[in-house]
Amino acid sequence: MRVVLSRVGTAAVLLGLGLAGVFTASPARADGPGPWARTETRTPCASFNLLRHPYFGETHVHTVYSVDASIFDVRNTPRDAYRFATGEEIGLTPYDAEGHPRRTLRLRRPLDFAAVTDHSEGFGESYICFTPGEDGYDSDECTKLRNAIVQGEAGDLTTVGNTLTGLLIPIVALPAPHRWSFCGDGGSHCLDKASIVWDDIRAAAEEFYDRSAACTFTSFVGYEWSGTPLGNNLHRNVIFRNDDVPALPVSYIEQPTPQGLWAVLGTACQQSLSRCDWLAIPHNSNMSSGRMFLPENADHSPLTAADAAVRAASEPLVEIYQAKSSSECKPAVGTPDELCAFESTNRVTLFGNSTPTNTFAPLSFVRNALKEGLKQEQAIEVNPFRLGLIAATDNHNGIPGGVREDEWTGHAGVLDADAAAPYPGGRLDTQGRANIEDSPGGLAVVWAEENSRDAIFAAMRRREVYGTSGTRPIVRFFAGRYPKAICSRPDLVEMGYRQGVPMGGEIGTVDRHGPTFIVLASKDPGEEALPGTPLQRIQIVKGWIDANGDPQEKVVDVVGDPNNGASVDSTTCTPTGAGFDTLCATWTDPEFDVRQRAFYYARVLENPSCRWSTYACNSLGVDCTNPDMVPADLQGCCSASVPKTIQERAWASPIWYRPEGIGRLKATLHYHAPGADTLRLVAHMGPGLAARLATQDFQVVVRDDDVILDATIPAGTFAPSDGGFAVNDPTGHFGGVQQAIVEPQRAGQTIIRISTIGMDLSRADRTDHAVEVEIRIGTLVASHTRLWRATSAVLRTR
Amino acid sequence: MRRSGPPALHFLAMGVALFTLERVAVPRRPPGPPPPPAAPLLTPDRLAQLRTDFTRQAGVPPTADEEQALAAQAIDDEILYREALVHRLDRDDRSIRYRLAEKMRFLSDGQEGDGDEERFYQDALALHLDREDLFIRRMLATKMRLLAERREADPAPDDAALEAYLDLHADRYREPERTSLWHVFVSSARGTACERDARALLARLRADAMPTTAPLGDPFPFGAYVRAASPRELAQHFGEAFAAGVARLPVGEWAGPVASPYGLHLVRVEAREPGRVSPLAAVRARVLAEIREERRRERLAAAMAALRAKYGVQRAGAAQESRG
Repeated sequence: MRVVLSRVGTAAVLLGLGLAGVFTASPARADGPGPWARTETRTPCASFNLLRHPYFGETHVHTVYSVDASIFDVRNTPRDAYRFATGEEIGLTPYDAEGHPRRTLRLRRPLDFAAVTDHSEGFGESYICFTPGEDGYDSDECTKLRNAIVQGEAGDLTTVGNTLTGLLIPIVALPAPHRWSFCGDGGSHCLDKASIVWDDIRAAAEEFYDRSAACTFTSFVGYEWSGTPLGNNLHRNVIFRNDDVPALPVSYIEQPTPQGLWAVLGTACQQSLSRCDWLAIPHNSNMSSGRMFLPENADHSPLTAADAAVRAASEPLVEIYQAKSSSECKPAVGTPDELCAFESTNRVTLFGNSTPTNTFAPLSFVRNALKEGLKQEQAIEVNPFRLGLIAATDNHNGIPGGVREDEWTGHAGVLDADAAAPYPGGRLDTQGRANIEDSPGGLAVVWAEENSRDAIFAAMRRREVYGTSGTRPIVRFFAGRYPKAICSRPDLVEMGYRQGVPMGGEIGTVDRHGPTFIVLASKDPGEEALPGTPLQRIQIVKGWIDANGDPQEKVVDVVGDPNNGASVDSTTCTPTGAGFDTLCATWTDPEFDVRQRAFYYARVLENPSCRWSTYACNSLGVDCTNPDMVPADLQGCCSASVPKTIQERAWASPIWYRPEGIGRLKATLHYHAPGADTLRLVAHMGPGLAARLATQDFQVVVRDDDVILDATIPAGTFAPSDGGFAVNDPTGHFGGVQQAIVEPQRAGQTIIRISTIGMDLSRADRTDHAVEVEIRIGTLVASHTRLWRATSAVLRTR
Repeated sequence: MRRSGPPALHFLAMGVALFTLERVAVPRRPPGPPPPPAAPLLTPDRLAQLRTDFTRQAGVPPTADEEQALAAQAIDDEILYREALVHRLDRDDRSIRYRLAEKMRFLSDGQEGDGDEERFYQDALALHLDREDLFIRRMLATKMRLLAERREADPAPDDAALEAYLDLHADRYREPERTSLWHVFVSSARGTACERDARALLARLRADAMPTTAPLGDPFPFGAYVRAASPRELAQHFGEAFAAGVARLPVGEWAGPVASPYGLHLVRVEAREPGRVSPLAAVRARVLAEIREERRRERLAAAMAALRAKYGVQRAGAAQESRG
């Protein structure tokens, strides 16, 4: 109010100095810089925002091509899944004898992007078992599979279950997997047919990818690697950047270790194809017996820096929540955080029973894995578990983004059926085969400039993503040098990018108080008939390793009101109590220790709302006041161990503080005559760097959508100079560097100054955009990405 | 709403699409004897069953038109099924064999013994158990339909054909209207002052000479400039009421306040571009897929017409749409 009005005057002055705010940043052209490489041919998107939009999508859904979907009489194909994602109505199991679906569903809010990710281990086998005349069609295995489906259609799920256990599970659960008998030597016959299915998956993705300027929907080619040795879930989904993909997916059967998967994908994709790129997203570490995030190689040897770098590059994200419960954390497993009870399962392995007395290995949970990552970084300088956070559904009905609690249609075809109750009635029996612990799952949200494959993939790579438990709050999270009153500044977002890093980023020492964090969240805007639930509060979760080498964590309420008394009536699902439309706050860590690496992620909580089971039980008219009258297969409705209400939430990717990282950066690129551009930069980093220069190479890389500068100064080149170390070379022999100075400071930091000779730096685009500076000394790699500002003469930070 | 067969049928569709007629297991042997000529294509019992099924599904009995459609569908299925038998599509199908053998085994009070599968199967055939099995009938009818609509070695449609299709169905490929706007956000967190502050800011914005470059209002998650957003995108980010409100605003002046779930917004629409039809290059894959689907439907319709003639089916009214 008063503050704002007086700033109008200030703004007028600033305008005169050419330092006007956000409004001049936006006219970046749609075909302008990313700052990511454009790896495909397409019309530029009409809608492009330098400050990025949130795009809502699904990274994990199964169709008829997954044998653990088709066995439950799921018939939706990848095309059906994309139709659903884009807002068309599709059919669901069960089907009548004429093939009409008895249920249908439509997404009222279509998704912005989706990847169909079927289990790659069964592609060829699916094709063969369902194509009469194929070698193997008449085999025992295929006959049993088809028969199981028929039995399941008729209501006999015992045969389905037995077939699943006896026939399908061994494919992914044997440590030394092998294919079915008819697959031939090396599985060649099945792999041959697998390419037919894979080609169809690729074709479906292409058909639904909107390459026009409308950019209404982006599909991704993908699949699931389904390694489950001895029942421990090690599954991860592989997402390809564009349509340049290997001829076949790499499945658990060919590569039974994640390390093998990454290596072979690297060869088959980046090294063999001109535009190919991929990343993998693990999920359900909660059912991995702690094996998903073991800090070791396949042969159990400890990780080297190189191993850790491969892991971090291959798997920049984790699916922290989906139908098979949350993997964020669990009460009493390394944490006192009661909010970890959200959608928590007691299944320790993928096929195990949910028993309350089961004990969990700490590394089954992502928060603990993030701490382990810090521990590894402390030891080997590279963090293997630098994980951005998203959520997904893992839906086996072919309905990506089907996350509404009030109309959940179930997880996998006839698995959710019940003779007595409509879907998902089969889940309301606490003793049932289909688990009441499961839930609809969540969504992946990426902050990207436009809705295209390159833009969204790049956002995933840099981890500027968050996951939700199914609703659509909008969440911003930054760390950097910010004024405490930034929440009253309308240019908050632009300042966020210019003076710090967004979610998923890393930051070094800014000052001894640590970085200032900004959290800004808006509630789900809702739909016409279904308003979004107000927000309750925002928390920041900090993790660090203490002086004894033990992992520690702290959860802090940063803004909002945990005691706002908001609640929901579980018989009508009507919400009561106040909440917030938007929340904004800054926060600094009162226990910040410059020497202690840490991660910080934001968790946004809505006011309570009904869980899917409550909606389902209410619509069945279950009355728990008279438990004896409640049928056995609806006992879950009245069980004290099943929560009636939940708080939907969002998890924003962490920002990592690294003592050795780049805390401050000042850089100026001057455009002179062609070939005579210069770059000067000053970076503040952590201690102990100068000592390495004798034995380790020093490299500085500056990049946006292409590489602007890449200079390496070999070990031993730096010479002592004035209390620091320097290289002076008027010829610019080392990648254009004219002068490089590395100065240890008395307070512990290191200041690095680089200036170049006149050289060609024209690859640096002359508009406002994000630029990354990366400094490598030996295995230590620190990077710093911010929004740089451009004029006709200069491109600079701040 | 399209029907789906069991997974078998989808893969079958892919298989037949990719392989020529010969490579799919259509046996190279002379067709079997023609079906008994007197057997009606649609029995009263079957029609009654269809009526019952419909009523159970829809909650009300079928109208006369609906019943005619059901009957026509059932007759088509029967024709395809019989034609499948003529082509002996049932003879090499292991799962049909397995299913019939199990049925016979059950009827024989579960007598054990492998190798008896052939005997059980033959007995089942002798008893015509396959005739009443809905799955088998559906499977065979679908196999026959897929063979009937199979792709000939016709050339892929060229660019001229794609352009022509695009022109004909331009509405389907029209991009939405796009609006670019500045907005100043006044958060509901201001409480009772929200509306007052919004109006004051609006007055200020209208009065100032260079309003669009002055930072005013509260922070919004994606900044103050919205570029080329479709109505759907506006609704997605600002709510439907906002999108509807903005659609009514004039271009080039500050107006409002327009409400969103988060508070009030002062809006200056910079540009509003009507949607144009996507160029072919951008939607080529979709157009190609739709043309192929259209051709498949035409081939199937022709094949069904021929089969109906062969089996002496008379239709009252227009030609029946074949199933998708």
